Amino acid sequence: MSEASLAPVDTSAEWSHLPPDIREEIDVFETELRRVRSGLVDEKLFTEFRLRHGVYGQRQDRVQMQRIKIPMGRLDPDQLVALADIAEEYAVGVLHVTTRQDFQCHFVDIGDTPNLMRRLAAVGITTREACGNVIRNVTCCPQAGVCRDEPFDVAPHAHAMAYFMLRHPDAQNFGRKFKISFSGCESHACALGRMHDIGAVARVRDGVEGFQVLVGGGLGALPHQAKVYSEFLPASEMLPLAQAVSRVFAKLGEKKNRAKARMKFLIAKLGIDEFRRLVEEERSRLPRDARWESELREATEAMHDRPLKPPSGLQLPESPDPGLLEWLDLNVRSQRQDGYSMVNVFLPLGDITSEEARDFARLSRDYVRGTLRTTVDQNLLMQWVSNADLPALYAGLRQIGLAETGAGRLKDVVACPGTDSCKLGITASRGLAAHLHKKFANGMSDIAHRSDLKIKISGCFNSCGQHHIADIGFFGSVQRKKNDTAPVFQVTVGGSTRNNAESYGLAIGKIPSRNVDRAVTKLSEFYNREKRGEETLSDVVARLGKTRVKEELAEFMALPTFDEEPGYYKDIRQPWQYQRSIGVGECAGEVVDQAEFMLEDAERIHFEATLDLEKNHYGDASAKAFAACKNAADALLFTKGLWLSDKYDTVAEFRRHFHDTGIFYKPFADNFLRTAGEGPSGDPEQARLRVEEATLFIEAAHGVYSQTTGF
Amino acid sequence: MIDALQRIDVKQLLDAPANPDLDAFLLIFDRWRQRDDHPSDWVDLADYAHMPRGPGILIAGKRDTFSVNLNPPGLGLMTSVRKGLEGTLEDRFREAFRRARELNEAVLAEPEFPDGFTVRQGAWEVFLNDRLLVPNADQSDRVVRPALAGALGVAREALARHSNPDGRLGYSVRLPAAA
Repeated sequence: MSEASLAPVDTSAEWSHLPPDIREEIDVFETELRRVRSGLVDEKLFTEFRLRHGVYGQRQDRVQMQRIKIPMGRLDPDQLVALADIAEEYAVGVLHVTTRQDFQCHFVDIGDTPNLMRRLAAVGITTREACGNVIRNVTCCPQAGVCRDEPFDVAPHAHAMAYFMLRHPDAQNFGRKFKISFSGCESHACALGRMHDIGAVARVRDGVEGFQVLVGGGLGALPHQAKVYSEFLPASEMLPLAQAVSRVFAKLGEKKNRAKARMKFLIAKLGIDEFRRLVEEERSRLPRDARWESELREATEAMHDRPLKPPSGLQLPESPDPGLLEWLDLNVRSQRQDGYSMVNVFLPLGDITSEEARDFARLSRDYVRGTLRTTVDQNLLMQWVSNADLPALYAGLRQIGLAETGAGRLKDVVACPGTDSCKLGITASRGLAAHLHKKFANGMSDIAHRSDLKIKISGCFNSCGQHHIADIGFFGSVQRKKNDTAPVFQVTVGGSTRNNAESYGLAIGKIPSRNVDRAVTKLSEFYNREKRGEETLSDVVARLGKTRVKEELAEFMALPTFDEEPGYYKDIRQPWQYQRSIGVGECAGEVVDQAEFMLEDAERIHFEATLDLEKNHYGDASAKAFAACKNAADALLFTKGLWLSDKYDTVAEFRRHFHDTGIFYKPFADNFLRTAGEGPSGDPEQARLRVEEATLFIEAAHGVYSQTTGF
Repeated sequence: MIDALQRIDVKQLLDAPANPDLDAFLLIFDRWRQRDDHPSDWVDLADYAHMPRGPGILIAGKRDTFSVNLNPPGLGLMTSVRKGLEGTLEDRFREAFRRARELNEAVLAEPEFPDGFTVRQGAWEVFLNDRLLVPNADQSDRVVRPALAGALGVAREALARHSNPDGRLGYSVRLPAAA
C-alpha cells in the first residue's frame, strides 16, 4: 500500500452534504481501516473500534455483519429505501430486523463499510455504537404515541436519551454493553423493560409525566430481572440519571472478566440500595448540562407525528375477501386516535428483501406520513393509517408479498442468527425458526395464530434470541450417543414477555432438534388441556410443576443412536452431518460410558434443583445446583483417570486439570470454584443464580468432554 | 468512473413448478463451500428459502456470490460479481457473463440439480449493482448500453432497460437460444 493511500482519508469534496463531524468520524474509520490492512495497526486493537461503528465479525472468516442503529425503531420511507439499497449493493439483498429494533446486513466486505456508513448518514442514520461496550440502540414501544394504554407518548423521551448518550464521554468506558428501553405501559410486551440495564416505564403522578425506573436487568447466559431503582422519577430527570448511572458503571463495573461485566453483576454485588446511593451521589455532583432540557425539547418538536389522511371509518365490501378479514383481525389494531389504525407487517425470521423494502416504502407513502417502526418482535409497524384505507393497503401489501398474518402470534418465532453467522452458535436457530414457519403454514396451522404463546430460540445459552422470556423457549446444545454428537435444544418454560418481561423460564430438558416441532404441538395441547381461566403457560407450569411438563415431553427427549436414526445427527435445514466423531478404542469406550453416565446424573440433579426452586426450597436448590456441577466436574476428572468422591478433592483437581489449564471456559469454572467456597444459599435470588450457573457449567462440561475425548 | 465498476449481477432465468423446493441446493453448496481453491473464494452458504421473493439459497464468496434466486422477475441462477473485474466496461461485462456461465454450467451438472428445473435459454437479467458509480439514470444508460451490447454481441436495442425507477439500473437481455 502506498504512502498516499495511508494519508488521512478526506471525503469533504464528494460527501460535502454530510454533517462535517459525521463525515470526519467516518473518514477516521476508513483511515484506521487502511492502517490495519497495511499492518500499521494491530487487528485486535481495531476490533473494539470497528465494533463501535457497528461492524461485527461473522462466524465465517473475512466477512462482516453490519449492524445499523434505528433509535426507537423509528424510520421513514427514505431511510428504508437507503437501507434497502445498501443491503442490495454491499450484502446479499436482505435486511434483518433485530430484537433491538436495529437492522443487520450479512456477508459485508469490510472495505465497503465506509461508503455504506456515508450513504446511511446522508439519510440521518448512524451505525455508531451499534455494537461494542457502549450504550446500544435505545428501544421503545413501537406503538408509542398511538397506543390506547399509554399514559403519554414516550418516544420523545427515548429519542432524547438515544441522542444525548450517543458518543457521550461518560458512556465510552464501559466493561460491557449497556441497554436502555422505554415502555409506554406496564402490561404489554413491547419494550421488555425488566431485561434492560435501564428500563423506563411510563407513569403519571400528580399530573407530572415520569417513569418507573428499573435497573440491572439482562438476559445473556445468566439472566437477571431488573430491580426497581425508583417507583417514580420525573421525566425531566431521566437524562441526568442515565448519565449518573453511566458514570457509576464506568467507574465500578468489572472490566477484565467479560462474563461478569454487565451492570446486573455490579448491582448484584453492591445491592440495589448501595447502587442507588452511589448514583444519587454521582447525580448530585453532575454539572448542569443544557442538553438535559434541549434534547427533550427538540425531540418533542421533531417527533410530532401527523397523519397523511383525515380520520375515517372502515367500510368493507359486501363480500369481503376472507384474507382481508383475517388480516384485519390479526395484523391491525385501533389507535387511541379515533379513525386510525396501526398495521403490523409480519416478517418471517425478521427478514425483508431490498426489493420488498423499497416496495413497502413506496406503498407507505400513499397511506402514512413516514410513520414506520421496527419492533422487538422483528417486524415492521405502520402508524396512522386512516381506517378507510385499510382494504386498499391490504391489497397493496398482498401484491408485494407482505400481507402474511400472524405478527405477535405463535407462528411469529423470534430467533438469533445461530450457526448461520454467529461465532458462538451451537445449533441452527434460524433453521429451526424457518422449519417452524413452514410447519405453521402446513401441518401446525391449527395453532399458528394463537396469541397466548410465544416461541423464542437462541442458538446457544447466551439468549440473543431471548429464550428466557418466551412461554416456550429453546436454546442450542449438543448431546452425545455412543461416538456421535447430535444437535439438540434445551427447552425452557415459565418465561413471559408480558408486563415488560415479568418472568424468566428455566430449562427442563433437552430435545433433539428434529423433535422440536412435535414438542411445540404437545406443549400447546398440554396448555389447552390444563389451562384454568386466564392462566398463562407460566402459571400452569408453576401450578403443576416442571416434572409434569417434563413428563409430557418425555417421548421427544430420547435420542436414538446414529445407527438407528442418522437423521437425528443433522441440524434443521442442514442436510450434512452435524458432527460425526472418529472411532475410539474399546478401552476409551469404557471410560466414555462411565463419564457420560456421570454427566447425565449431573443433568438429573440439576433438574431436581429447578424443582426445589419451584417449591421455594432455596437452600436445597442451591445445594443441588452445586452437587450437579460437582458431578459434571467428576465426569471430566474421570476421563483423566481420577474417580473422586470428596468435594475438596474434586475442587482441587478440577482447578488443576481444567481451570488453571484454561481447558474449561474460565467464567463458568470460576463460578463453580466460588460456590464451592461459599456453600449453599437460602436467598431466592442467589439460589436461582446458582441453578442458572449450574446449567452453564454442565453445558460447558459437555463441550469439554466432547473436545477432550474426540467426540 | 463507471469504467471502475466491480459489482454486476447476472441472472439466468429458470422455469420450475410453482413454489419450487430449493433444498437440493443446500447439499450442492455445502460441497462447493469445502473447495478452498475456487476462484470465487467461497466463504459459506446462506439459506433464505423462507422468503418467497428472496435470494433463495446462496453461496457467498469474497469475489462472487452465487444463488438459486427467487427475486423478481423470478427463479434464476444469479451470479453477483463483487470483485476482480478489470479493463473497459465492456471487458467487465464479458467477464461477469463468463463467470456466470461457468457457475451455471457447474450447478446444472450437479447430480442433485432438481429435475423439474429447466434453464430458460437465452433469458438473462443484468443489474449494475453500484448506485454510487452507476445511478439508475439515462446518462448511465447511454454509457452502459453500448458496452453491454458489445460484450454480448447483440444490438443495443436488444437490451430492455428495467422500468422500476427505484431499482438499480438493469436490463432484460434475450440472447439467441444457444447463448
